[in-house]
Amino acid sequence: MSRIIFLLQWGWWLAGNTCRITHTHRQKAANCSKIRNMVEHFFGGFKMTLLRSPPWVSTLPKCLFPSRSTQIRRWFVFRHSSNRRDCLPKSGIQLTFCFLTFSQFNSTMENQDIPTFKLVLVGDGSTGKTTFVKRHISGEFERKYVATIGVEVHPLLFHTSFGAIKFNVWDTAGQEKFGGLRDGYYIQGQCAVIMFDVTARVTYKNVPNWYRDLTRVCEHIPIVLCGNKVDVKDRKVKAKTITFHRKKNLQYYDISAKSNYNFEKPFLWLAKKLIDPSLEFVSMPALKPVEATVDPALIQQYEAELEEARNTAIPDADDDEDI
Amino acid sequence: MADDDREEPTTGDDKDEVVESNDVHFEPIVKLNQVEVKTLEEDEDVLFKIRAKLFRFDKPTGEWKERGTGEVKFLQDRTTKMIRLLMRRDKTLKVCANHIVRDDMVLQTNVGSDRAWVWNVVADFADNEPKPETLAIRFANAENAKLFKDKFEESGRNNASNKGQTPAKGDAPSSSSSAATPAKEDDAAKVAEKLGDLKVADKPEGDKPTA
Repeated sequence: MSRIIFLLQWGWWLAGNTCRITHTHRQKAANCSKIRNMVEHFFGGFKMTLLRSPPWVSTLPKCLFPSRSTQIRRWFVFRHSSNRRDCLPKSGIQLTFCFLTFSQFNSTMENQDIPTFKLVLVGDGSTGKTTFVKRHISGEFERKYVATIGVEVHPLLFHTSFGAIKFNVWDTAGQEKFGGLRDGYYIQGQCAVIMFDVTARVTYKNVPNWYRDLTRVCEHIPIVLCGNKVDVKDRKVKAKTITFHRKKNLQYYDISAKSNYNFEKPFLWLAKKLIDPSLEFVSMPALKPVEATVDPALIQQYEAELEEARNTAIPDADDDEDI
Repeated sequence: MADDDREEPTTGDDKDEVVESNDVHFEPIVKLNQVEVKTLEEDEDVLFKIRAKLFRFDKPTGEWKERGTGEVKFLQDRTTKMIRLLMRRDKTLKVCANHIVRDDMVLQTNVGSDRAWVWNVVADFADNEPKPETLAIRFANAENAKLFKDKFEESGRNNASNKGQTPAKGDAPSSSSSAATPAKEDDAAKVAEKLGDLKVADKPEGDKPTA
């Protein structure tokens, strides 16, 4: 249970709401009552208690703290136990929200040089949204299906002919039962990807629903429709039946998170729309590595651990037509 | 999901391209200027490059995880003569391996495969900060794997003989304070001989090794 709470509170903490408040109230230091007012504004009528020094602050994901030197000392944490259905996966679970003070928020989230865009990633469960994002983060291809609960926000950096840019990808739960705040996550989305699975027709049929929910919150933002898993031989949603994007003027790409087919295209197209049509991806600057000074004992330990790696087969040996 | 099994009307041609929609105009939401982005390979020579697939060993799960597909390169700094291994992913051109080749790095086999190597890196800079990694690299065939191994070992020897003359660059990311591996004191003649061994591979851009 604590895990669910954590994801939801994280979602709201980063939510567009927080940004909007930051823009309208530029005060350097906010006092408690002001923050309480703003929270009440967004969660109208909830009873809230102010907590101090939440113990789980240290468990917040690293990506929320862009630089190690950023010290976050003041937290305003609100807890309520409402059973408002549309906010909570189950009634009776306590939600905790936390906010940085405004000045700290500014220093951690806004005063970065890298232009950042909120990208909302939606689509039915098991269409491959999380796998697609992971592929971009670490290069890995995750086969196991683990349903996303609520939302997970991943910063994705790209190097372009207009400098480095960042998409904060809001990877949302596709499965209804894990939806969490749902369109609460779409607020202030600046671009979006709707994903379906070309091997499961029902996921394409639901695309209009995702589009409707998304555009209700985010009007006129660039959206890419992606048909994932095109590497699968037995494709069910044929190319010529994919027409929804034409009615709504979305961009469409066949993609495969497995084979990397077109996997960069959605981000490239969105970046062109958000910044400049001539934008291209360029080589990421490759810092000069420095040679590590290593304790021979440590090297020995690593070498011992290497045995396990040597005896574990590298996956997909039959899948190398791209090298 | 019974209706999921309903047959789509098809003309039997699966290769049909999806029809593009009209290009809609969106006002750009930020104004940025075009910039020249440095690759930071500008003062290096490409000694050898070849297509490959890279993996990292995830210790907690005991699994190999893919890291990227693209060209792996050996780059030699024109000033320090040190050689690094650099690999970028196709298309997004992000770095997935970036480390100095040391002569104490040993390429080992993986479950008897003749076209893959496994090795340990104490400080890989792919994510811009030093991280210890266990990496594996796989090639299209055994010949390519052999070529890579030769270049890797040559580079390691070259770097070992260069160590004494290398000016320090930045802070050494060492957590273990003591026991630096002593640099080998090779004489100048030997260094020159090693450098002579290293040939620049003049493959055209995007050339695939024959599978």
